[in-house]
Amino acid sequence: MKKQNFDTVFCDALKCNHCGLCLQNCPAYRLYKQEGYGPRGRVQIAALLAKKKLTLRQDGGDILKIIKTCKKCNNCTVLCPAGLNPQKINEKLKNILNIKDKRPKTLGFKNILFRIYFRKFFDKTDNLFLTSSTNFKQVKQSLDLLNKNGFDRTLYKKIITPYSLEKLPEFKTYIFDDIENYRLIKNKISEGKIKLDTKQILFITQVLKPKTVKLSDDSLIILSNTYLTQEMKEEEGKLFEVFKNNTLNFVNNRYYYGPNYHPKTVGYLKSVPQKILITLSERDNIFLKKLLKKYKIDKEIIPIETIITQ
Amino acid sequence: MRENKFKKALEELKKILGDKNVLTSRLNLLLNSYDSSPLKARPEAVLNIKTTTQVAKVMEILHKYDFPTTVRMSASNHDGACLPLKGGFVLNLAALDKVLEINTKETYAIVESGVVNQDLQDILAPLGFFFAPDPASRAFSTVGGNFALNAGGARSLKYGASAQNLIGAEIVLANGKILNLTKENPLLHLLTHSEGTLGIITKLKVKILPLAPYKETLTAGFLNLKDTMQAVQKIISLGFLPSALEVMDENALSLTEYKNTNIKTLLIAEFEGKKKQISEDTKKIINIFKNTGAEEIKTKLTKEELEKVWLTRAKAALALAKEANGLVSYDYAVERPKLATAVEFVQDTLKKHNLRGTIVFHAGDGNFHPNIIFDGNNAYEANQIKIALKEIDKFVSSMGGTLSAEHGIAVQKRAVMNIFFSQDTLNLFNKIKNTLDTKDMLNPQKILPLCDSKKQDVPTWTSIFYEQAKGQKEFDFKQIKTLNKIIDFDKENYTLTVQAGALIEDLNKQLNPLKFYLPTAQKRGTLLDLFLSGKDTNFPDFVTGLTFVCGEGLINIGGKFVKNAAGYDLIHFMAGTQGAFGAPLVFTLRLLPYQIKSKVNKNKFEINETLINLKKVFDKNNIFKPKIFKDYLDEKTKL
Repeated sequence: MKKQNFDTVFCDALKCNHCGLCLQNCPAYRLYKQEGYGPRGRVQIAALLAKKKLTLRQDGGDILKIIKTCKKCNNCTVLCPAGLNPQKINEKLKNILNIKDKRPKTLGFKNILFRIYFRKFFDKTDNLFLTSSTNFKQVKQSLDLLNKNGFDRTLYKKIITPYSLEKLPEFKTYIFDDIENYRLIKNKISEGKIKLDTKQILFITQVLKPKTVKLSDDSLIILSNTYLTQEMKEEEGKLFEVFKNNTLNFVNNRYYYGPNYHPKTVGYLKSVPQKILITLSERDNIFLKKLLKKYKIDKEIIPIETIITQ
Repeated sequence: MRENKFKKALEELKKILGDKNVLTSRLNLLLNSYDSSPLKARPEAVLNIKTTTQVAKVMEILHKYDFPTTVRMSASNHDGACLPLKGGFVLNLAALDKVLEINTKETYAIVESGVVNQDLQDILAPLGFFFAPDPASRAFSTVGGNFALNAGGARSLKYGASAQNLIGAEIVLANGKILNLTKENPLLHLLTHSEGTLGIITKLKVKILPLAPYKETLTAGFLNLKDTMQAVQKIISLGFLPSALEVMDENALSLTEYKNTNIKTLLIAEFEGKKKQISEDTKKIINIFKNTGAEEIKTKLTKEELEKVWLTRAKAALALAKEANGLVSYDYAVERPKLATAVEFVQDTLKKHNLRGTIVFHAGDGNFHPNIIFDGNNAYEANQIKIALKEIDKFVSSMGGTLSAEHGIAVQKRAVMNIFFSQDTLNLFNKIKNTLDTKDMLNPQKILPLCDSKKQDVPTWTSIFYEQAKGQKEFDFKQIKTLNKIIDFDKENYTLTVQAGALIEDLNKQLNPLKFYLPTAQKRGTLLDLFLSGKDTNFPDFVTGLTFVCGEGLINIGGKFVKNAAGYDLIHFMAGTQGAFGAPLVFTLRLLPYQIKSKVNKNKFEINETLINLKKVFDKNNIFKPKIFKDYLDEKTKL
């Protein structure tokens, strides 16, 4: 553990009014429902360290358990009326305690499931989860793990692999764990091989691996939350090497769930000079289209796949 | 001794909750020592409750060992309601977040107390329903917390605050006894703004209302506060009942996009109902705005503009948080016509003491929120705030307003309760608390002030009843029926203060030609009978003030304001008690611009042990309707 002067490191944590606005939009808090697991608790830990009411020597172990649970969705920062960045404060805490980001095998799916959980609009029990056979075990494990952790509302009724399917059972929502599966089903539907009354389909993409990318100067790349785990950050790095000369800016669209409105994002999109926005996943693409239409922002969107194939 | 007891209690609790859910580390104690107020108090242990059945078991143990217990969920209240002032245990009920039943046919929902208000709204919206209490904190406050503090919000003028929307509850008393309370049971209503001092709410049965088919929002910018309040006054006095009527003051607007305009106050009005009616009304409202000197009127807002308007409103309330590490938010309410004077006084007082603050208010119900910032590390500034608030408290009290409309009293406002309530009332509150919670375990030291009351305003005509209530003979209810004077008829404020014996028929004769209507469809009998019989279940919701005599003396609750969260809800408690707990002398009623239908209810309350104990507090000589409790009081030894 590094010796540091916490008053200066955590000076902004002292600004927290502990109003609680950040609590219910924090995935970790929603799961654990304990003060320490929400952004307010994390910021207070920092503030208490700064005020010397906690010390790393005595309370380090307890702090460690708590700060690991942040999902880095950054909802708290968007919401904070005092303009704090609780996620950044949590990262500082992690640095002090020497915690390195390791991606546990199931974390990716956990993240995904948290996002699903927040899409309150769909029925929580009547969902079908579609996954490829290679991922099947992992998906099931993560879902069961979530249930064990007190995630008492079942997120899915059934998990299936879509490859050999001829008929899709009727469910309210279909959840895909990657875009390939989604395409497969989509193709099968369009070819008439599968009959489906599509009411609501949600799919979640995994990392795409672009090989050659041509970009013009006036484009902006928009990444989604799924890229944020450590493994994916490496991918991101690769991506950015490719884009190095052409990348002008980088927005993280990780708050696009929930009320699907965020003043910060909209404001940002309005202010950036680029004419073309590039999205890395189709879901972001759809969402962004809606957002731009809603706020009458005149910008072109290109899904990354079209660029890759060019 | 205490340490041993504490260890034993912890061991027993661990058996029920599991080691993981009994937290005693310094970190966890510190993390449960604050809420949204600037105050702090550290517990000795934190218990994470996962199911409703655990609450009763835990309370049994804590009662056995006699430790102070405080319930905590989102901890978003402004006055320190969930701070463990005497240490002891904090029960974290946030994990009780299941919606158990939604019945759209009979329009109710059953939820656990930790369900977040917005989550419930989100579940109800696709079904075409909504839950009326909508405090600004609805995105993170829990339904249980809303009821414990009688949270209201923008829409409460039309749809009522929390107290008006509760139909039933499962509560756990301090000794671990579970009570299932229905609307007929007077005990239920004591719980609504008891701030967790009387019992722990574990499940709630709440009203749900169908969404209105059409909604119209108007905004109007004014050059000064007086014009704005005149517009508000006209809207209400012409008989419109908006679902929201929000105003932001100059300081609040200076933090939003209205920063560099000449507009000093902004009024947002929202109307709900049938399309035809609303569009007709809108024209009239625009005329009102024009006549009162509105500078900028906006109608037919698009969805984006609407979002922007409400975002401005939300921002105005919290925008100051950026500039300081201390923020207090108060929630006074006065009668509507006096609102402008009260707000101006607050603005002047803040200026005088060099304090910065915004004022936003729910103008329709006379409720205003000064949000004042201060530097938490600056002792002088913190003291300045105390002085300023005391001045405002006294002013609001002298205007007949309430200390708290929707936040509750808790610790922060406890000290000034004595200028709002008489000594008799405070004594009664104290005895109620001691009856339900004999060991003073639940949320101790909240609500009740530590010094004696300074309020004395007993009308001379009540002295006969006062003496009778203190005597030994059976109280003569027929005497009250000779009292039928109208004490105050405030046309602008839409309230009527009237003696309890007034005949409904007579009142209707006087009011109806002027287009004022009593909040009941019953046509015969006296107000006293209507109130005490509990026949019309909607009627008590419109009683905003009540003066009654009981064994404890003359009790005065509420006033001419719509919302109230100060002290225990004795108005709803007294309704339907048949007079067994005391005799009402004066009612203050909300009048309506139209006739409403009333819900008839013939059920009478069931008598249980707690009610018998309360009866002994309200009426120790059993002189009020002695027959009702006679058998139960005689068989003392049995119970």
